[in-house]
Amino acid sequence: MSEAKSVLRTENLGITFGGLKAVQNLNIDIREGELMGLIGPNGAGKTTVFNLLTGVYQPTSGKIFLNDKEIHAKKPHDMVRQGVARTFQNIRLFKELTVLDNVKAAFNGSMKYTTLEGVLRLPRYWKEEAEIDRKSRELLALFGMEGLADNIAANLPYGQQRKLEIARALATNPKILLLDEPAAGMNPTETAELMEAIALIRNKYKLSILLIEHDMSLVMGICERLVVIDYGQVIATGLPAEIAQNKRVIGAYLGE
Amino acid sequence: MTNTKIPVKSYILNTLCIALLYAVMMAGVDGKFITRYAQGIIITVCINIILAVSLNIATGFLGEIALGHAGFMSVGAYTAALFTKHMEITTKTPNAWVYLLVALALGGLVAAAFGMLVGIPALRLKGDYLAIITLGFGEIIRVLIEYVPFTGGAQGLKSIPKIAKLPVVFWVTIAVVVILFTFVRSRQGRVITAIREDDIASEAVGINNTYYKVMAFVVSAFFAGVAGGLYAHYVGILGAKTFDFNKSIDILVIVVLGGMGSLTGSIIAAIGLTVLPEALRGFAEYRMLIYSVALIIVMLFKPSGLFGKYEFSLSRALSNIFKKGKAGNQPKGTKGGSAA
Repeated sequence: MSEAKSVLRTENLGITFGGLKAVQNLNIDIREGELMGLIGPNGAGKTTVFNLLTGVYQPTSGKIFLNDKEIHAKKPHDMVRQGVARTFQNIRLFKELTVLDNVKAAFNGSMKYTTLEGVLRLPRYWKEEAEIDRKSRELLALFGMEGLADNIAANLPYGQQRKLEIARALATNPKILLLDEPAAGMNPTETAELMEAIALIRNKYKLSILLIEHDMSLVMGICERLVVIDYGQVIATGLPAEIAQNKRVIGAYLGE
Repeated sequence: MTNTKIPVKSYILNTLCIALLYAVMMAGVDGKFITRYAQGIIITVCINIILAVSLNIATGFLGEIALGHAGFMSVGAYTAALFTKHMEITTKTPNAWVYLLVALALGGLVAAAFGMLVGIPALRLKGDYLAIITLGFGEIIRVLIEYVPFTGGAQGLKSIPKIAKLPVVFWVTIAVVVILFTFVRSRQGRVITAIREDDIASEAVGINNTYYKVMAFVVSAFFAGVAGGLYAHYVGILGAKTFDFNKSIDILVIVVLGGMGSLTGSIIAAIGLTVLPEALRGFAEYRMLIYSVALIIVMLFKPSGLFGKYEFSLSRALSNIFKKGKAGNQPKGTKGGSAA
């Protein structure tokens, strides 16, 4: 693993809310093409870590490196433009828009035509819209959702909504994808399908993925490396098999 | 929406329809079927259409309740009126409509500038808070107009050339409606509706929320200014009291009744709510009662407004009629692009 390039790395990352140290001294290193799991008991700070990495919160200490370059993002959309995309624990789609428009909205960053060109429908409008239409449908086809393109997003079944959210995140052309409990609320069939989809996009896009998950069997099954946090601090890092034996991890989950 | 080729057929169809509408209207004017009184109503309808569709951008598509639309309208009205007065345009000036168009553009630009001025700080807030700020802005504008000397103060601005005649008002309205239709269907319009649906998700897919929110607000203010300019040159006299809070509410009622997020709905509701009080003149004091009851009934039975988010498309309607039974199941509320 050590020869692979680092994609996302943090150095002593931390944030305090008033007197509460929600996350402190966080050092993680996700390499190219790696699928890393971030686990920990409830309230350990997993989602806070995601919010730090996506620019929702500004860290009070430490640094974030993307491709070994330090990045400062004031806003979540800056972070997306740098190549960090995410999904949410409670699915956030553009509910009343069509499935296709959900993906197209995420392609906005790669479109160039100006408002005037759009309003007057000049050639660049037609060219870019046709291109985005094609790309969006390809992306949906990857998840087997091309037939649902014209449906309203809110009307999709839960599992499909999850997939759409991932497809939408991919439309921003990320280097790393952060998935916040992607299997939450899914039945075993849906989970299996989702895992297939994740494997598929990893192979196709050579994407690094950081995954928060509660379903331990799932995490152990697909993650290559795990980071365990508790009370905002890393308590263990390593291969799934090592983590399963780790006394501190067992202690954190079961109570000492 | 799914077709990204130029829909030539629907463009031709819509152009023909608009031309026909115009021809019928002008024939009516020439043949004295449409009286001066009726012409006045048509002009008022047109101005209300522009006000409603422009407010719909901020309220329906961006999803922020704005209560200061009359404020932007008044800025546009005074700017445009001061311009034509300064240029000493009269109804006798040849090609007065050209000056009117310049005046409208100026009115729109100044209103847009005010929109940006208010929008940048105000759009950090959402919902009730934004509504209160825009309400406050509308009132500030009204008080300022009465205070500064060049607007005629509380006495009002008088003898503005009445150069907003039916043809120019008609074509300006058509232009505004077409522009806003294509705006809503551009990538910018798509992003604005995405922000309405979920502003956290829109940031998370790389959309700069503040930028696009201000853009929607500025576009909305620009066309409110244009409507104000038309109003000034139709009525011929401006008083700050015309543009009070009630005026903003009147426009909001049109938008809500027609359906937030439907330009077609705004147009139909603007026509209905302008014509209805006129048609009810025979009922004297019961007029407003009937008007209010009509509003309440619509809101009870169709809370999302008459049209919801649905847009009418002539070419789609025709193709549905001709191809009945044959795969005419295009999705509702989305279409290739056309003007009503």
